[in-house]
Amino acid sequence: MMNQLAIKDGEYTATIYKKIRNGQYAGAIEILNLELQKQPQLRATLSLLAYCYYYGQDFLNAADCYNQLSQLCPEVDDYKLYYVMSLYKGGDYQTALRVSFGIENPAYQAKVQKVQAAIKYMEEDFASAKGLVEQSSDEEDPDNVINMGCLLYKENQYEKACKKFQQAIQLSGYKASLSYNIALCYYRQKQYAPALKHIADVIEKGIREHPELSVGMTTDGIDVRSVGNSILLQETALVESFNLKAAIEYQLKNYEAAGEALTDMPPRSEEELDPYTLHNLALMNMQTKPTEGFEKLQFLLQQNTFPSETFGNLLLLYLKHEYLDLAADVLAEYADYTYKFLSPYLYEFIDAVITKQTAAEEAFRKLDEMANRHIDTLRKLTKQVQEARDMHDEMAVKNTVNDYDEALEQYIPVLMQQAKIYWDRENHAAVERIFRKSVEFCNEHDVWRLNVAHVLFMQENKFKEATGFYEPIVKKHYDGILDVEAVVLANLCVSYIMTSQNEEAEDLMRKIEKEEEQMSYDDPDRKVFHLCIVNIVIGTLYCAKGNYDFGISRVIKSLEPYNRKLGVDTWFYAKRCVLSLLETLGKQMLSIRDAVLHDIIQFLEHCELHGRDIPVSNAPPSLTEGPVAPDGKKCVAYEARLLKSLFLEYTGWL
Amino acid sequence: HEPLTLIPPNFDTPLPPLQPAVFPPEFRDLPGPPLDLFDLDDCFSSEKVRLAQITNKCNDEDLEYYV
Repeated sequence: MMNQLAIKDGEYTATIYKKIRNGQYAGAIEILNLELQKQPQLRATLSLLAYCYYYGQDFLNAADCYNQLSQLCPEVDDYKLYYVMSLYKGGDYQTALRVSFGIENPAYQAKVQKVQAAIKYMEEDFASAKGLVEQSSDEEDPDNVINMGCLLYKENQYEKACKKFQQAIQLSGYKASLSYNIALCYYRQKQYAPALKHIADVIEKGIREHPELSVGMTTDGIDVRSVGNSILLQETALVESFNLKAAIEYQLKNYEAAGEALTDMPPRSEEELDPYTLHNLALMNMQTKPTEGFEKLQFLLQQNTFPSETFGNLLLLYLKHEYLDLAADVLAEYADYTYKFLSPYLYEFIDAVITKQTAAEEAFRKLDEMANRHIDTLRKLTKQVQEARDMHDEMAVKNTVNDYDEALEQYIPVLMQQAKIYWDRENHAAVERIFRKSVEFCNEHDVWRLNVAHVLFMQENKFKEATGFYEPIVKKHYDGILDVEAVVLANLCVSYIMTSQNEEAEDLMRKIEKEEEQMSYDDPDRKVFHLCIVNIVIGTLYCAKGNYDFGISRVIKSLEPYNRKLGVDTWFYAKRCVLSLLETLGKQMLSIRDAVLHDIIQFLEHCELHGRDIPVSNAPPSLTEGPVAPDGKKCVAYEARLLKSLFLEYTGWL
Repeated sequence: HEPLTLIPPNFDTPLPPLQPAVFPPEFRDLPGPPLDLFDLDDCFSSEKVRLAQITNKCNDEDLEYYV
């Protein structure tokens, strides 16, 4: 047979072993399979085939070859052992375990126990795995020490696990993977500084010894080729370490640094990425690339294995984006994952929020039940903190305070979902009642204070109280006032004005104006809408109180310069005021100076000019393919023209 | 329709925090199988060559076996 596979006599050994040495397993397998057809059951062929399959990660075929070999050479226990190994690596844990019991040679006992422990570990039968590891007589065997560490980690005994990994380094010398394990234990104990230190060691070593892995190059904007999922990459523990670094920065809310840790990682193409990296890429780029993020997480959920966080995160992200139907679908479709991957707290919370859209009363009841349980916990912890203080037990105080903070962080989302049900019905008094009930636990919490401020504000007769809540939020950020949400600044100004503190309002607005000027000087491309929003909110307030003269002039001023300030939202709120004025004029409840009318018409002409390409609403992302034909009536220019014609009609100038 | 009202701010409903994923520590199993060494030219060569090899190995005493 003369084809490219034909090998000359006398060159078989050289050709095949060279391919194996170069890792060209597929090529070697092709030749070996041809030989196997000519002479089936030949030990040499089967052995090399098994080897190639195993290292080419085709464990199913490797298992088949080792099975044949163990029957062909029943005296060679190694083949039985590798048969077990292949089955285990291929995920067939039951068969692997059964075959392992057939290896009776006492010299193999330690090895058999080790692989049995690994099987039990993969099956998440940690108690049996522990039993097997503990049976080993060799306590100095680094593998056994590491495995004890892994098992302690699974039992959430991170401090003890960490000690085991440190012991393993003393026994067998530095290994990147062990340094990673230690960092991981610190991470689980929220000791981020030592965790980052150990990660830095791994990364520094990786960069120094393997510059070919292109660490950091993608972040620097250099286009580099994939380094592939090589054994070398695995040994450096770089992928693990960069993911852990990203996780730490994410927990510390340093989102930019988290993203950078992911791009610093040795480059691989997307289809080569492991589930952990894929998950973190999705999570940490959700702000900028939500569609891709959802795709990645949905993809992961369809795989056999994925990080246990995937399920809960996907559901929470659905809630965040208000895709409640999708969340309900996923919850129903993967009912068995509910118990495996969601804490009871997370399950109850997600379930209650989903219920909100179909049965608000029922949702409220579910949330109320949860809230009451949380309040009980918080009361208990408050008492414990007090007791620890009385005993002057500093350690206990610190730990209990941490527990309290964690419990509060779980309570706040429940409380706010509950309050939101009333908020959406504009029942502000009921929202306030809910907040009064939670004041003893939450009065230091930023989100709670912000929402209390909003709900006082919306009742329109509690501006003094609202000031008391808005003011500290603004004062806290006085050096970077543009970091405060614009609506907070606006509502504080309104609250000042309504309580006759006009000077405070003017001071604040001057401060915002100054910072916006500074920012447009430093970063001309960045859009800032803070002063614009403040003016619209104040303008709306005056219009709502019937002072259109002043109110409208504020609104008009807010949109200057039009090319930078006219947008979907700003137009929506500006138009509300103009329409309201028209209605009041139409009912002949008011007359207005000609100069103001003139200003309004000029304002609408400006909007017409600059609003040709600005839509009047943010359409939800289209699910249908292809571009949608533009609707000429759904742009700012059209609406501005329409309003102008109505004003002209009113004035009789038409 | 409703009369003009104040602009309602967004009511903040924070969600439980999202959790990043981290690789678990890797459990140690056995090292992979070693590479067996075989003389493949001995096993795979065509019949003619193998016959020649056997011929070369034989001396007079093996004559009976060879035939």
